[in-house]
Amino acid sequence: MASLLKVENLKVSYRLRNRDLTAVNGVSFSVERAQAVGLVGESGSGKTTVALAALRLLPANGSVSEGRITFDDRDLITLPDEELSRIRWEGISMVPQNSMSSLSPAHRVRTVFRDVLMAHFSGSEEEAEARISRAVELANFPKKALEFYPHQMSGGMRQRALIALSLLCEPKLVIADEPTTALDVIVQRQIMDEMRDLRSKVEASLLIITHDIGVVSEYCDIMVVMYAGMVFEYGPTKEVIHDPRSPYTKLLLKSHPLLFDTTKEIIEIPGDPPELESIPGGCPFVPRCPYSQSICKEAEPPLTHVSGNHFARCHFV
Amino acid sequence: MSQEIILQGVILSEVRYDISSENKSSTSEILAVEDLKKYYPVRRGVADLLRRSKKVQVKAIDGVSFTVNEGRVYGLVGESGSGKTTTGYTIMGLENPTSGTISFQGKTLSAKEHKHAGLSLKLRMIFQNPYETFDPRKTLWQTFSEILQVAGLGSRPERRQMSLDALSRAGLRPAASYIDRFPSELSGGQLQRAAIATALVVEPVLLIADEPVSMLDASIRAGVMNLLLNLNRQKKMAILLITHDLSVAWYLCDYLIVMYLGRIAEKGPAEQVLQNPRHPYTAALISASPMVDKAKWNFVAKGEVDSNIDLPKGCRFHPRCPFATDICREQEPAPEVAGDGWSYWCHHPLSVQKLKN
Ligand SMILES: Nc1ncnc2c1ncn2[C@@H]1O[C@H](COP(=O)(O)OP(=O)(O)OP(=O)(O)O)[C@@H](O)[C@H]1O
Ligand SMILES: Nc1ncnc2c1ncn2[C@@H]1O[C@H](COP(=O)(O)OP(=O)(O)OP(=O)(O)O)[C@@H](O)[C@H]1O
Ligand code: SF4
Ligand code: SF4
Ligand SMILES: [Mg+2]
Ligand SMILES: [Mg+2]
Repeated sequence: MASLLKVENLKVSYRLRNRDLTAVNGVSFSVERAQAVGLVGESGSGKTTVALAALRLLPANGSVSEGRITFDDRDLITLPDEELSRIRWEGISMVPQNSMSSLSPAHRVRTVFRDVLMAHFSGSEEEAEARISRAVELANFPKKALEFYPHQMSGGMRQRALIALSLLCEPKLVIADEPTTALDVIVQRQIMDEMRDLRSKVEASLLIITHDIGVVSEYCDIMVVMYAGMVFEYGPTKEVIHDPRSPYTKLLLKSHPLLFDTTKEIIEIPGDPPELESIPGGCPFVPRCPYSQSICKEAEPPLTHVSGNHFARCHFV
Repeated sequence: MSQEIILQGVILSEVRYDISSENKSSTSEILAVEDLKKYYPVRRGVADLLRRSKKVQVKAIDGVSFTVNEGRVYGLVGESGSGKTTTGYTIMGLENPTSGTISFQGKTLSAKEHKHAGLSLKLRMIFQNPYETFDPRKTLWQTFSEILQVAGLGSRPERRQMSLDALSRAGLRPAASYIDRFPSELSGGQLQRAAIATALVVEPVLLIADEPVSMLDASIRAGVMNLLLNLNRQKKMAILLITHDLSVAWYLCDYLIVMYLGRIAEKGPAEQVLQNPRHPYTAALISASPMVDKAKWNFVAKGEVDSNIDLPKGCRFHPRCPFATDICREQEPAPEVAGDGWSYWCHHPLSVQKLKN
């Protein structure tokens, strides 16, 4: 069976006043049915842009300049608007990065749910009610809180409201952008457990965007590591974590603080990510890479096959 | 012991110190917080006001006591709403306590003394939101210059040089390209480093750092953590680190103060508290942390933090605690000693037995 979501050689750029910025530069990966994929990388590496491109929700100054995105064998880039809008809730739904600004402050949660159903669902009143009940139950959102306004809820509750909202039309793929970054560990754990259970309960696939490697390592089957708009490593999470092959992944993993780490050594990645407007060619990690050689400045390293489904980008994989 | 990993001229990890031997010698107390309380009035709605019902209050902190010794790093940990930031603000004199005392270097501080500028240099706070440390209308240089003037340090050119040095040590290099920028012209991570640089430039006795790394991603986070550690080790600066991330506390803290709903649940030497917690809440925080051994750390706290307006009776953790019994629902636990400088507030503390189950 074909992949549920397939992103091939995706390039996305943003138009700035007098120049273009390439935020996503040739990204390929896929999400299979009932699979959880984690997209990790530093701030600005292009994670959110990939998700927005897949849903054709890029801001006005952003555009896909190259590549293909297919969902259930349909080409999302060329799909007519009406069909796409159906896919947006029933095929793919998104839990956006900022939960505070994505629920309307002037409306009760129930009103927001109703509006979505009105637009995308033609069933009876009872069926609509049943859908809402099912969605809030799956997201473990207290039913009485449907009558609340966003400011009356904790951060964790708002996040659950958004997850429930994303489940209303029973999508096949849920994209969650930093679903737990603003939350405390205990609530983070509860929400991630609930999201994991979704896969067995409704057979939804997950694409989780985060800079928290801890979340990916525990909840995702596949890990995609992005740097400067490119995929630097791709593979089964366990394999990538235990045997990272790209120097960037190695340093990213080492820099991650870990409770009970016996060495207590805090490793930094020196320097800053590159300015995306002016990537000089060659490997974008050169200025920060402890292993760089002269070839790295001259040629862009290819994404190289390591083994099975594991790929890494470096001249010296 | 010091160790440097240098790869191609890039220092990956700066000088590290062996803290275990250092820890054995005791240092003097610089801050003592005693039975501190901070209640805020809440307006629930017109109806309540009309009924003139009894005053409704948020008990943001509700009887917190701890001490801070020179040159040590203390972690103030707990979930959102446990009162960490309020504790920091009250120590800084940015909020007046409802009751309780704060003594700094042996002297009990009154509200007036708190306002005294000299004190603000010995005691500095980095705010949860780095944009609060800086006035958006002033360049970094204007902010630094003012701080140094208040401290009575240096001539104008000297002040400029000191500021450049501090920015550079905080990792904003070349400092000259940052110093004349406005806060809005820096990324969140860069601004957080600049905020730490304001502490570097005057070298306070105690630095209160409120979630200094929580908005940063891993690679930048490690840099800021090392920066704090170096400040502490090289300048003997005491740090009160407010965080909800136990992995950060694991790397940085000598002592841990675990707060829940305005009260301390457990406090003591960081490694002991984390490896062998007595309080179920501490164990729940550890269990929820990413990548810990699931077989050992399986303590689950149910639901979410209760409201600190209508506090649960008895132990305030009881509605979420897997070990709660009748006594927990009735009676607030009294402090118990678990070891040297280590106490907890719980009727049914975890034993080594429970931990191994
Ligand atoms: N509307 C826009 N116009 C111009 N540039 C943009 C726009 N949105 C994003 N960018 C830039 O594109 C790059 C990728 O941004 P993106 O939001 O995809 O990153 P991200 O990996 O999601 O980061 P974060 O972890 O901070 O959310 C960044 O350099 C960002 O500054
Ligand atoms: N000025 C205020 N007026 C009323 N209530 C307040 C005020 N400041 C704080 N509170 C309340 O006091 C409690 C403790 O807040 P505080 O900010 O100290 O928590 P925290 O532990 O720092 O949480 P976080 O991790 O979210 O920063 C919260 O319930 C908060 O809503
Ligand atoms: S290609 Fe060169 S610079 Fe890039 S990651 Fe590999 S060694 Fe480092
Ligand atoms: S006193 Fe009781 S409810 Fe409170 S933490 Fe201890 S066991 Fe749990
Ligand atoms: Mg993003
Ligand atoms: Mg706070």
